[in-house]
Amino acid sequence: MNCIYMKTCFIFIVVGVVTAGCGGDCIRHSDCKSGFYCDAGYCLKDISHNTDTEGVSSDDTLDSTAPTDSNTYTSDTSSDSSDTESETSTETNTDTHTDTDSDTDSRTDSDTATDGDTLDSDSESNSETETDSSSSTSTDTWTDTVPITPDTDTSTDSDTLP
Amino acid sequence: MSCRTSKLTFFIWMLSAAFCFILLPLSAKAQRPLYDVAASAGTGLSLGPGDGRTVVMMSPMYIDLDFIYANDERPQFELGVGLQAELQGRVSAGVVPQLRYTSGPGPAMWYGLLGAPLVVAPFALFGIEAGGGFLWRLEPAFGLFGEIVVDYFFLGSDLQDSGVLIQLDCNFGVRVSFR
Repeated sequence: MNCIYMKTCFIFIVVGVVTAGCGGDCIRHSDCKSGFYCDAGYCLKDISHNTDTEGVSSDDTLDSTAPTDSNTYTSDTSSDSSDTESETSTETNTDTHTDTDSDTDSRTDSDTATDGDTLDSDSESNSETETDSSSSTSTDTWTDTVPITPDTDTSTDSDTLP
Repeated sequence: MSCRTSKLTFFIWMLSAAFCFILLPLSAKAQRPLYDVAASAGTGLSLGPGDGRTVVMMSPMYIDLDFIYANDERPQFELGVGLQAELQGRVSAGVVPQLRYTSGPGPAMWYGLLGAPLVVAPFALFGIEAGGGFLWRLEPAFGLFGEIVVDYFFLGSDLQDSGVLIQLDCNFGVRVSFR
């Protein structure tokens, strides 16, 4: 960038920062309007002075509308119970995720069984069909059933040897 | 005694000692007082704490009226009392006692200054300041000057909670000598 343009940009940045400021609205309380105070660089409404004046009138309004206040309490209680239910549903979702993982594990086990069949003989396509049906159900119980299948395979091997 | 209070006490003690040193005559001969009045206006940058970062804003424009005293035995030392008023946003008023060390009388004069600005209304602010300036005497009794001053405010009801205010200001004005 040309030096002249850089200087111009620098001047614009400095003037912009000086006039508009950056990082906040205020540094000291007198930077804020009347009724506001400066906190962490921003002007906040000074509640301490207004509460004394407005608090009395708001209390009067609450007394005249006392039934409305009781209704509000009832609705608050129901909303609390609904909050508890929503938390329970969240836990259920977490359980569903765990089930999905176990399905994946069972498929892996069935593949291992298929490998064993291939090593022994090529005619074990029937056992592979059973594995597919179990994976469609995808339950932990099916995974336990799969180790029982090699017993049947052993008997088949004895038939092939003669 | 808190750390801030002890620092403030030490600073006031040092400033008082410097004032006494300047006012103390070197010999018994009569001193000739030298009085100057300076009027200036200025503004600059204000820096303070924000929400996890530093807030930079334009300092409120202010005017300054300084009454400066020196004597012919030590013309390079000057004592000043400035009346300062901020005119932007809320109008505030303050007093700034200053101690200056100058390069001496002449058409061109450099000087450095130390001060203790105290803003009294509408909120209170107290701090220290340091800076320097240049006075160009167009006439023996009239000159133009410019100053760069850094203020560090650490006490006062105008500050945020546990916050400080740093101001980097420039001011320009005229100075009249009554000698």
